[in-house]
Amino acid sequence: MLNKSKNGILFISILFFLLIGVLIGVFRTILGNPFWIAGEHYQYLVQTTSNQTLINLVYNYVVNILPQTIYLMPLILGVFSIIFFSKIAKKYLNTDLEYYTSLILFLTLPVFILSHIALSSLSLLLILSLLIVENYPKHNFLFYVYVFILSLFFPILTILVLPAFIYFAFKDKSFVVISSATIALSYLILFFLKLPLEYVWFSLPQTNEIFAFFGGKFGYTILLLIFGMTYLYSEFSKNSSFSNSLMIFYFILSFFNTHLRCIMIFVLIFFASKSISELINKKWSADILKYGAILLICCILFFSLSTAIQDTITQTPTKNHVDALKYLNFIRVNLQEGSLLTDPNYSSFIKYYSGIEPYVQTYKHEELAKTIFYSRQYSKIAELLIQENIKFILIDSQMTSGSIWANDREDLLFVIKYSDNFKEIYSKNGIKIYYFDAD
Amino acid sequence: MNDKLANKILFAFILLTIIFKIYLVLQTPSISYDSYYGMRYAEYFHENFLPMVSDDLSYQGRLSITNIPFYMIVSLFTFIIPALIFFKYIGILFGAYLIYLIYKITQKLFNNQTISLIITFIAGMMQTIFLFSLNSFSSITVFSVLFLLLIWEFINLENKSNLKAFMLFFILATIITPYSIIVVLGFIVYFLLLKFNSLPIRKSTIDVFIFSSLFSIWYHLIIYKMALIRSGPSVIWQNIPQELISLSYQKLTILSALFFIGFVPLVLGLIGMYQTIFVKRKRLLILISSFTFVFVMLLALGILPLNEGIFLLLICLILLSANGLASILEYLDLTLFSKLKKVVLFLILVFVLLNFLPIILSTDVLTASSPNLDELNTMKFIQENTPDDVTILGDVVEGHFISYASNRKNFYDENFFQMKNADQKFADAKSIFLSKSTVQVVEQMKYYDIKYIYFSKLIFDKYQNVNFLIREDSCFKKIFSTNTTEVFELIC
Repeated sequence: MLNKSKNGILFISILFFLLIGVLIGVFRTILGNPFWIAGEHYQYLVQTTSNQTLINLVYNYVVNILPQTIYLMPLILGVFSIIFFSKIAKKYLNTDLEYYTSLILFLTLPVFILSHIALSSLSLLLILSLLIVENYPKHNFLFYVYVFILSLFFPILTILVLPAFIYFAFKDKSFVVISSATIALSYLILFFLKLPLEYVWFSLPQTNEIFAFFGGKFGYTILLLIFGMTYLYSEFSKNSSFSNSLMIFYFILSFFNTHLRCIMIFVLIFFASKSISELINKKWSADILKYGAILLICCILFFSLSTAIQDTITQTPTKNHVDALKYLNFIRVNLQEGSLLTDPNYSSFIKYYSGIEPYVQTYKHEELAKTIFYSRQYSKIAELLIQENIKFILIDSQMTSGSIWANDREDLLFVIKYSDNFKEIYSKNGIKIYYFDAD
Repeated sequence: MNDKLANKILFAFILLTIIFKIYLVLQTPSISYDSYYGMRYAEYFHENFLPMVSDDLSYQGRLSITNIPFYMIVSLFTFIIPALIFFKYIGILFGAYLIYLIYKITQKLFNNQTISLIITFIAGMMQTIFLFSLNSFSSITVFSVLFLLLIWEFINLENKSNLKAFMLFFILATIITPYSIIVVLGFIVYFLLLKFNSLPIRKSTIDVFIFSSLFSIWYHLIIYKMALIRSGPSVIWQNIPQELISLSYQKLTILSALFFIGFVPLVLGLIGMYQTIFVKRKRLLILISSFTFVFVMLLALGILPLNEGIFLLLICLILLSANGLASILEYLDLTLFSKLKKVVLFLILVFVLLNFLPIILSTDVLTASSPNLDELNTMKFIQENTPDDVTILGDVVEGHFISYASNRKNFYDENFFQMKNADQKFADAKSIFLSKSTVQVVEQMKYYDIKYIYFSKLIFDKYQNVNFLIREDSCFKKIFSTNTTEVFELIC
C-alpha cells in the first residue's frame, strides 16, 4: 500500500517536472524568445573547430545523427534522474516524510531545472552519479562501467571524488583496485585520443556563482544550505568521524568546481530532508510556530522555484538578440572576417545565430576582453582588436546598465562614440552592433 | 526607595526629557533632511492611496521599493496627525517609551529601584540616544523600541501569550527594517554562549529562533531578490557610493567607541558583560550580551552604519550597565568601603551630566541636520519661479528636502538602494561643484539635464575654501540668494 502511494508520488513528480519543462518552453515561445537559454547547449549544435572535450564530441555526434533528440533528450534524462533519485531516497532515507521531503527538494532545485531544459553536461553528470550510487553496494560490473563513463566525461571530478571512494571501500581491496584501474584506463584513453580533460578545472569562488540566492545558476539554495549544513553540523558534533570531515572538505572544495558543487547539492538534499523531517516531527512549544515554520519552508521553496522559472523564461538570448545576430549573419559576407566581442555570457549562442566565432572562449580571452571593455585609450583598444582579430562588437542595454558598464558613456563606449573606426551596422531594440575597421 | 516614589521620579524624568526635547525641536522651523522622504511619501499616499513605487522626483525619476511597509504605516498615521507634526514630534514619544522600557527591563532584572532609576537616567542623558530621534523619524527608531519589546517578551517566553507577542514584534520588526536579522544572529551567539556556560537551551527559545530565522529569510528573499542578484553580499552597503561608505560605515575603534558611547556606559557595560558571561549567568543578560557582541562585530567589520549601530549598541550596553553597577555595589558591600557606594553613584551621575552638558549649552544642536529658514525660503522661490520639470542639483543629503519643498526633481538623494549609476552620479555631482573647467561643467549639466544649482550651508561647509567656478562664471546666473543660500541657473 505504502509502495503504491510512493509510486503515485513518483509519477506525480515526473509529471510535475515535465510540466515545468513545457511551461518554460511555452512561455519563452510566447515572448518570442528562442526555445533554449544561453548555455553549453548551443555549443553542441554547431561544429566547433578545435579543443573539444569528449562530452562535446559525443553530444555533437548524437545531435547530428538524431536531430530530434535535441528537444527530448534533456527531458528523458530528467525523468530517469527522478526515477533513480527516488530509488536511492527510498533506500537510504528512513521515513516516508524524509523521502517525500527529499523528492520535493530535488524537484524544486533550480540547478535540476536548468540542467534539464536543454542539453547539458550536468544532466549526464547527475544521472551517472545516481547510477553509481544506486549500484555502489552491489559492486557489480555495471558499477564499474558507470565509473568508467563518468571518468571519461568528467575526469577532473573523478579524481576529486576518488579519495572518498577509496575511504568508503577501504576494506574491499579488490573494489579499490578495480575502481582505480577503471579510472586510470579512462585517463589513458583520453590521453591517446589527445582530448582535453575539461575546459575549466577550477575557478576562483564567487558568491554570485556559489549561491543561488545571489544569482548562481548552479549554486546552493538557501534551504539546502541551512538545513543540510545543520544536519551535517549536528552529525559532526555527535561524531566527528572522518566521513563527516570529508563531507565538509568536499563542501568547501565545491566552491571551486561547478561539477563537484552540483554533486554536493544533491548530497545536501539527503541531509536537508532529514533535518526538515526532524524539524516537523519535533515537539513544538506552540502549534502556531510549527505550522508557521512548515508554511515558511514551503513559501521559500515555492519562491526559489518560481524565481528560477521566471529567470529562465526571460533569460538571454531574447528575440532581439536573435534578430540582431541573424542580421549580422546576413551581412557578414560583405565584411572582413573576424570574431565578435560581447558579454562573455552570450558567447554560447553567438556562433549558432550569426555564424561568427565569439571572441571570449577561454579564460585568457575573458581577461583581454575586460581590458578592452574598461579602456578609454583608443590606441590600446585598436591594438588589441587588431591583434585578436575582433571585427564586431555587440552591445545591449543589459551590458550598459550594470552587467559590464554602469552607463552608456563609459570606457570603450566613450571611445566608440568619438571614433570613426567603429561603424554602427545595426541598432534596434536596444542592441547595437559595431564593425571595427582599422583602416 | 518605595515603588510610588520611584514611579514619580521616573515620570518626572521622562516628562523633563520630553519638555527639553520639544524645546530643542521648536528652535528649528523644519524637520531633519532625511525625514522629508517620509513627508513626500505620506503626501503621495494621501493623494493616491497607493505606495509610492514610482518616484518622479527622486534621481530625476526612479522606481523605489525601499521600506514600503514602514512608510505605508507612517502614512496611515498622518491621516490623523498632520505629517509635519508627526515627523517632528513622534520621535520624542518613541524616545520616551524607549527610556521607559529600559527602566522596566532593569527593574525586572534586579528588582532594585535605585539601580533602575540610575540606569534610566544614564539612558536618557546619553547624547547618542537623546539626539537620535530628535526632529526626525526613521525605521530604526521604531526598531529600537521593538528590539526592547522583544527582550521584554523574552523574559517569560514559556508563557504562550508572551511567545505570541514575541513573534508579532519580530514580524513587525522584520517588515519595517532589515535589522531584524541582527536578532537572528544574536540568538545564534546566545546559543553558543549558553553552550559555553553549559546551560541548557530552552525549547521555546529554539522554536522561536527557527520561526524567526525562516520568516526573516523568506521576507528578505522576496524584498531584496533583485538587489541580492545584482549586488550580491554587497547589498549590505545599500549601493552607497564609496566615498560615503567610508563615512557612514566607519569601522568601530576603541577611541570612536569611547567618543560615541561615552565612558560610563562603556565601562559599566563591559563589567556587566563580564559578570554575565563568567559569573552570574542569567539568561536574559546572556541574550543582551549576545546582541552586544553582534553589534560590536558588525560595527568592527563595517557592516552596520556607524550612527545606527552605535545607537543600538548603546542600548544593549546600558542594559548591561545595570548588571555592572549592581556588581560594583555588591562588591563594595563586601568590603570596608561600603559607605563609598553613594560616592560612586554620585560620580557616575556627574560623568553622565558632563556628557550631556554640550546639549544644554549649545543652542543649535539640530541646525546641522535640518534646513533653516533661508533654505525653506529658497525652496519656495524655486517652486514659484522655475519650470515644473527641471532638475536641481544640491548636496546629496538635501535631495529629499529639495524634492519635497520645491516639488522639483532632485539629481540625487540618500536613497541609493537599487539605483543604477549611484556611484557615477555622486562623483559627477562632486566634479560639477569642484571643476575649474566651464566646458566640463556645462557638458555634464547638459548631459544630466540639470538646470539649477543650489548652494546651501551644507555645500559651503563641505567644500570650505573652494572658489566655486559656478559662482564666478558668466555661464551661470545667480537668480536667488539669502544669507546662507544661493541658486544659479545655467544660461549657456
